[in-house]
Amino acid sequence: MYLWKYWRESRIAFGVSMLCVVLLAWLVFKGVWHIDDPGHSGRPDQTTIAKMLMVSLYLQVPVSAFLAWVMGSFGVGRDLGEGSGSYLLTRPRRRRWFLWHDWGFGFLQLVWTIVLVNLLIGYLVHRLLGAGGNPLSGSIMLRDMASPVPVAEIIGLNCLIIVLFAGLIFGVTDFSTIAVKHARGVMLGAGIILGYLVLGALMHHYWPAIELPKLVMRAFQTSPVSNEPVSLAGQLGMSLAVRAAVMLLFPFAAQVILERSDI
Amino acid sequence: MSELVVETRSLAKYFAGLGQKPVTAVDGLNMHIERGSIYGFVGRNGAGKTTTIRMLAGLNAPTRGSARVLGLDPQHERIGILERTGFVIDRTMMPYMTGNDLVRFNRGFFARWSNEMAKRYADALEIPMDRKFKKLSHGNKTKLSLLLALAQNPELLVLDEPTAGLDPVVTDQLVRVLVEDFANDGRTILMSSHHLSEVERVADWVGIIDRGKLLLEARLDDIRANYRRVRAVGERLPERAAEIVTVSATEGVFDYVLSAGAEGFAASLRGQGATILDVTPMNLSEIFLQLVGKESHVPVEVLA
Repeated sequence: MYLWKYWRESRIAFGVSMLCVVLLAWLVFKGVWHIDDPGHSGRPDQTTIAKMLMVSLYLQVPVSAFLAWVMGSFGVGRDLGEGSGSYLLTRPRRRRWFLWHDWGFGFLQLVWTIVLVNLLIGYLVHRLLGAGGNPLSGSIMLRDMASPVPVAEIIGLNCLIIVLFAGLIFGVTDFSTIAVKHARGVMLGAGIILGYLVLGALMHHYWPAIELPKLVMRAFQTSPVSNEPVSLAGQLGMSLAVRAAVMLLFPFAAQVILERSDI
Repeated sequence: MSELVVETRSLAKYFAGLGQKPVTAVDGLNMHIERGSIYGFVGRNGAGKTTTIRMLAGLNAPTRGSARVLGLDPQHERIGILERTGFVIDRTMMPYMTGNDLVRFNRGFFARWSNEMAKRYADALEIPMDRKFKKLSHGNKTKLSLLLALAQNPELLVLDEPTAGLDPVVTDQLVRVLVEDFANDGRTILMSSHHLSEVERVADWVGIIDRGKLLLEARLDDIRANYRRVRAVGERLPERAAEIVTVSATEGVFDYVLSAGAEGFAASLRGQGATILDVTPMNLSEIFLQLVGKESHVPVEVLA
């Protein structure tokens, strides 16, 4: 029943994101039916498709950041700000129970949205490659790889990267609303993220030798605008694990604050 | 000795902002609430009633001292307390939920929840259960809060200013439900208020708090039967004795509030050469004013 409360609060944001997914699906399906038309100019080459996958990753960054930011505002911090905190926290559950239910359900909604978007992108790539079999079959040759990389793997990697990034924004926002004890904490959350970006830019300008970790993990070594062939970055597994740990740091920090603060 | 449902020992709470002097909200409170009693916790606004209740609910951590609710520690055994206690503190709930939504939302939390009771109180208190919480009147919000606390079938009900801002009809409805339905089953109520007449009507125990300190804790029957005001004129009259609750002296007139033995005390004063002006029984309002209002102006609302 408690999850129903989160659903009641977040359903408009989730509904809008689902509408966007439906719109994307419409565009993808409308486009792919014409790929095999006799008058079509032909399929793009593998390098262009690899670049498309890179571009799709970066395009998801601002959209997923905004969605995660909005979803992060529906946690228990909002109740503290609206004055219903003392009511909610006199229900017989541990404070962390409320926090992790909010975090878990919000994160699930984010993951669901991101997975759907990436499945659509995967399907589009599959059709562009002219591959048969299941909708994510086909593979792409990347630089420095001994054999072509399956589309499903690249899509899975993109998905993980965006989930970890969105999870971080979501966690920072949820943490901020609890720290401030108000939904206005979303502004603090945005401030933390923007502050980090500004700090990164300043460091890059004044101390180029020191580089702060990027908010979005770099899965590809090349950039979408360069002419170099696309290649994967190294030590992806370690990077993913570290980012997952950082993402989880914020709900744990929020738990410490919530359990120690006066309501 | 009766079983204590709530007990605090030297309970204290200070609030401190950054670079600010700590503000004392509760200061060494020793409170004792027996099972089956209706305990009126009275004090002026800002006296420390709400902070005390919030500490009992585990919402605020004490700065020092300890509390036990149903034999459990609110800081470390909160869940056990919350399962058996109905707290009505801030009457703010999720604004978009209707009364029916809130009933559905609540029942999953409490093993002893009674839908039948929720329905009965909704009818008895005439609460529009299909209206969103934010659209309810102040009175209906309070009634709904009480309904949710009652339907969880608690052993102890803790109400912070339940009748504040309510009209007399709604107040009467709430009081009837509390006394006739809930307390008649031998369950315990802790009710904070600054409406003394209402406390006098329902409570059997009273605790008077001011500036975070509990000035008086007694049975109302004892207050009615034994508490007396003795005014005497004399010199060097006693200011300390077991039965003296308060004493003040103005221009040779000593004004005593005694918890017992007024006639004997008056006789002993006469023996010391004093002239007794009067010995009068006291009601709760008079005791409250004598204890709390002696140093400053007491707003009219406490006499309501």
